[in-house]
Amino acid sequence: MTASPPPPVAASQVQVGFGLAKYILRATFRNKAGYFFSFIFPLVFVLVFGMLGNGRTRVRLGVPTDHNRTNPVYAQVENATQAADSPLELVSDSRPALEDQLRRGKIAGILADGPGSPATVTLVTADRPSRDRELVESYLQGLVASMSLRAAGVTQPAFQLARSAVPGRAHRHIDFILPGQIGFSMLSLATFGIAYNLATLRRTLVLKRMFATAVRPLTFVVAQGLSRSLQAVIQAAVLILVGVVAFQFTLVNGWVTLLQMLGLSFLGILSFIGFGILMSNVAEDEHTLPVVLNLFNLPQVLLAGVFFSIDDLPAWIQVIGNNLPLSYLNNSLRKVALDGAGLLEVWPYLLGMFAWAAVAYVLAARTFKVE
Amino acid sequence: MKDIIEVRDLVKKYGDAAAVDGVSFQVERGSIFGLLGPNGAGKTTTLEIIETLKPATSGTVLVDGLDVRKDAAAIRGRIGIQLESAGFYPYLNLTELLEMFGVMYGVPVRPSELLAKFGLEEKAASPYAKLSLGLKQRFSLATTLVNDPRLVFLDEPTRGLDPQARINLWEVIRDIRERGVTVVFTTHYMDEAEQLCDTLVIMDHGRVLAEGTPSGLIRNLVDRGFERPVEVRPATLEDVFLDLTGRALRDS
Repeated sequence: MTASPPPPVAASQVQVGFGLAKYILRATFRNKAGYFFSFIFPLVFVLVFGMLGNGRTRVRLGVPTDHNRTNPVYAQVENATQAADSPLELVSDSRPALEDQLRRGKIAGILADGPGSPATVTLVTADRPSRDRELVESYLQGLVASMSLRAAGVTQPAFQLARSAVPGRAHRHIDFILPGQIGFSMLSLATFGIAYNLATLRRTLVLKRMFATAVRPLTFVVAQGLSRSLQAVIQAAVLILVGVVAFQFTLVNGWVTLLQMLGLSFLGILSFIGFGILMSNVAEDEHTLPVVLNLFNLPQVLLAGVFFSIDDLPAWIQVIGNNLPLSYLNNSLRKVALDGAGLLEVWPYLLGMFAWAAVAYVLAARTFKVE
Repeated sequence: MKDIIEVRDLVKKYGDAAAVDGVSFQVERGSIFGLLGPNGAGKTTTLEIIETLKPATSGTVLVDGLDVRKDAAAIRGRIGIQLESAGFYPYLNLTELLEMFGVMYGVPVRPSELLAKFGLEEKAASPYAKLSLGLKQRFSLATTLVNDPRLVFLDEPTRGLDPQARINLWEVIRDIRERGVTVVFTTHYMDEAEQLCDTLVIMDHGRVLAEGTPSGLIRNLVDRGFERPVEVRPATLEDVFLDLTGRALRDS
């Protein structure tokens, strides 16, 4: 060698970060298996729950085939349940078969003859309280009472229930499910996606080789975060699109709401990535990783309003459920999507996400390992 | 500055155990230098300290005149590293991997040129995982040149290769030296060390046992009255193998 080449100029870590993000993103999109947990799962859940929520379930009431056909109550019930918005659906079968169904909870009650007067009917129900039973009882009570009034020639009853309505929108099951599935998708991508990727890169010494260059670990983490977040936002957009096109998911303020939801998804995954890195640090190897990941993810999937509302939980569990990293994202997504709240209005949730993220990133940085 | 690496009294301890126990040697600029020794001798630890990947417990290491303790970042820019059994970022092809290394070193890189130098131009669009072991090692060597280094470190570059791929890689290594790049490598194959090294060091239990040129070290041993128990044959089994199967590189 005659003359030494000039030493390479130290590259700005920002340039390195963006450059790295480009290649990581390319690799990420080529990894087909990577879509499974974070995208296919939530997509399937959206499709299944979307379809479930579309058919309203009616309460089933049994009418024996040999009932007294001269009794006007039957005719009235039959007539009323034919309406499209009727909460009841009639099931016709032999008495013993219906009783069997009642015992097994398949129907809420049986409408039987008597006793006594041919204009009387008996509602047979199971001897345990249930919402369906209450509904059948009050529905029939109202029906019989109005028949009695009419029979007595009362056209102006002394007490009446008048009705009026304010404009509202139909809340469908999809409106609840979709924001939760977006949150679930963000969480899975940040944990399963990132943690497995890091564990593999460590085992194959790719990280060691990378950090033998001018790349600093922080730059690599930021590049990973950037590319994963972009992937995440695209996934969230596709989930919303499927929800809107297939199941008329409510976007209260249209495009604005869509952009707000994507913005929240971006913040959400950023706040979760710290946990993904942390768990890959904590796990001994790729075999213990699923245990660690599920210990973190499963309670959140159950308690943070992914499949059912946090409000349905016992009060003390609600305290936990409302303060998990995922619940802050889910709750803010629902506020924005369903109540039309602006991003500034959901600041308490953003603060919660930020607090969890700060804890995760500090711990992840302290436990970070190259090999 | 004649020597590109200067190691003086290097010690690396893990708890009470010394993996490297007072090692000193120099590597001349533009040479091929071998670091030999049985497993656990401290070769890889010594290399990783010189490569700035591990801190030393005590001692001095200068690389191209720079202190590994103070100028790690600058040293990393001037050296190329092949780690033993290290992989590459998954789902990227060879061209993309070289570009990615260019980004990481902050230098422009011409992947097609670099791949051509190593006879990998036909594999430019293949992912690393799909390559044969011999081609993987060759690609791994190509990545060490991305930042136009003055010095490359190769940790057991011929491990697991068939004789053809091994001989081919020797040519590649000599070619790297012809470009004025110093090569430091480790190996368990003594014939390889004899073929390639200008100078070498033999280590065991964290200490240097001998240092010199291959012929010099052999002469020393013979001068001390050593005699080979069997007569030197005019050919070896490897000669037979290569005579039968040819020297052309196998690609599968």
